[in-house]
Amino acid sequence: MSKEIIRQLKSLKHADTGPSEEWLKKNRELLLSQISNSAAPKHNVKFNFENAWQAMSIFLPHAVVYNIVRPAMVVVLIMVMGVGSWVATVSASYESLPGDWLYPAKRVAEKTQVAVADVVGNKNEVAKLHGEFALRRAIETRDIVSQNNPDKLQIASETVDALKEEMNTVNTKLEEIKTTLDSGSEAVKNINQNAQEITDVLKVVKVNLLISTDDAGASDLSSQVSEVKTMVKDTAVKAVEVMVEKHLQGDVSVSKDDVKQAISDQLDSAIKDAAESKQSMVEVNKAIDVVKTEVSAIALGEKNNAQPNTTQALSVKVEETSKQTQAAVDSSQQFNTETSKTVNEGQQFLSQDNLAQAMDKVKEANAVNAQVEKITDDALKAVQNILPVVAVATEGSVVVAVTSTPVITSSTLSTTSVIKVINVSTTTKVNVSTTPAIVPKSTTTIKQ
Amino acid sequence: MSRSKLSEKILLFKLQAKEDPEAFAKLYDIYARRIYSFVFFKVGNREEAEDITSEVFLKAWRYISEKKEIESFSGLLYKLSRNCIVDLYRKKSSHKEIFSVDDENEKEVGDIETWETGFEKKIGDKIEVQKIVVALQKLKQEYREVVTLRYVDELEISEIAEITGKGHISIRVTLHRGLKKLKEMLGKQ
Repeated sequence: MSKEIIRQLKSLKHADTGPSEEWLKKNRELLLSQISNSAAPKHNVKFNFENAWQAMSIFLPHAVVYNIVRPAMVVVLIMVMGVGSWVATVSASYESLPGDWLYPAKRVAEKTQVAVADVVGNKNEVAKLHGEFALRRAIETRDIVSQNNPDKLQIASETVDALKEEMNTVNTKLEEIKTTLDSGSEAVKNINQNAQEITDVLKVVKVNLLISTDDAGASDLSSQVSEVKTMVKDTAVKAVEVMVEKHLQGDVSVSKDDVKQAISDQLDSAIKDAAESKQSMVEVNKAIDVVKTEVSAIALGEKNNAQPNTTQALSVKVEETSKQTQAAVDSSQQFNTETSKTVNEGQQFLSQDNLAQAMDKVKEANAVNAQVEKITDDALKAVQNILPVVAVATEGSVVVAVTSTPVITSSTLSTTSVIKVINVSTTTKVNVSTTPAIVPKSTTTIKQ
Repeated sequence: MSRSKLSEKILLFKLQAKEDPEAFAKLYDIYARRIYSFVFFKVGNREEAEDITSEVFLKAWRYISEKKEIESFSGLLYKLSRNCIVDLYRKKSSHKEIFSVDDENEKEVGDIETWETGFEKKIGDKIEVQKIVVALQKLKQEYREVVTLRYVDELEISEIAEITGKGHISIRVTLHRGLKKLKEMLGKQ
């Protein structure tokens, strides 16, 4: 019955109650002319939320848009702004260095990144992140050392500690990747690259430390840096080792060419390190020889004076050190030859696609280099002992900085040695160009 | 959501965001006949129905220009039509007081008889229709309006709620009672 009534009611609609087409058309035109007169002049409508809600209510019920979506949007916006400002703070903090007020934000962000990767269960990502953070610490150390902050040694030391901690974590993660069956070569490759970069950065740190500071703490920091540098080198070798192992196990996430490239890089860096050690010893030896000649000459000149003892004692010590550096030069030369041989063998294995044996050669070459470095460091320490001197040799130039009294700066330009001995407090200032000459004046200025 | 409803909402959005006269023209094409019929049912006079329909669309445009919140364009048109019809009856009743013209003007606001007389002729001898028209005529004004809006004009409950300013549940209840009453009447007839 109800349906019947509804049908009847609907039939009323189809009765001839509509307007005439003519009137409809006429009225439409009239209406349009009226509204175009009152229409607001067209202007570019910028985005406004009211339009957004209107647009949304095309698809959602009006009440839902205004009573649910709109309040929810406010909450979301508040959250986005909160998180957004956090992101902005963190990205601003990326440039910060230890000691800066934003630095803690940087570290917290890093910890969050690691925590998130950890929660997700991505071990490779965690390892990769630690590698990246270690590189950041190294760069931070480099930047701090080149600053003029009075506390820089303390801060740098803390940063180096943090770097050491990161490297320890990286090593643990490498071990984990090695023992698990998952493919992790990509992460290992990354760690290897980072480790190589860190080594380069730390080399710069060492040079900067010797050039820019005359603080006794610099020496401690330098040995701390050396220690970490060795550790980083070991990590790089270990990373390549894991890469080789994974590759041999059939992990194809990193191509064979990449693995070969990594081994080749290691061999190259081994030979480069060996050459550098040798070169630096040769330079130190040259510098010591020049100093020896000078000191002997002074000692000779002072023989008849009232207080000849100091210079003579120094002369003896220089003589001893000279012997030690000479020995270091000899052994570094010997080791250099050995490294070259090992590296050559390694490269041969590599060309035969014998990755495992090539890797053994990398390890061998690195072990030799570690020995050379120890000898070099010992020799430098000996130099420091006689002249409270810190020395470092870089390509073609030697910088010898004396910490307490005499300051010696030496640089070798092809065959010519230029040495400047500046005695700040008491006795001599030596200016040597092609042939050493002594200027017995007490002055605090430095002459070229 | 039906396609026509969706296109109506898109047109309405264009209208609200850009005051686009083209969109308004399209909406006119969709609703002009329906509004005319709705008004014609109530006033029973072509000229008055035409005047009111024009007025309704013009008022709707002003309403949009004033950036007032609109839930449904059809709802707005029916609401405006209802108000215009009420205005017309008010005018007529005051006119009656002054001039005290013929009997037809004594009829109640929205009284079905006004259109029924003209309408009946056109439908002719359809007894079925006559019956239902008579029943509607006897129905209470409150029920009659909701029943015609729902089944003759085929509006959604939400639209009727907006037009009459009542809640959805109230409309459903009124509709149910109206239909029941109508059924009773038709049963008796």
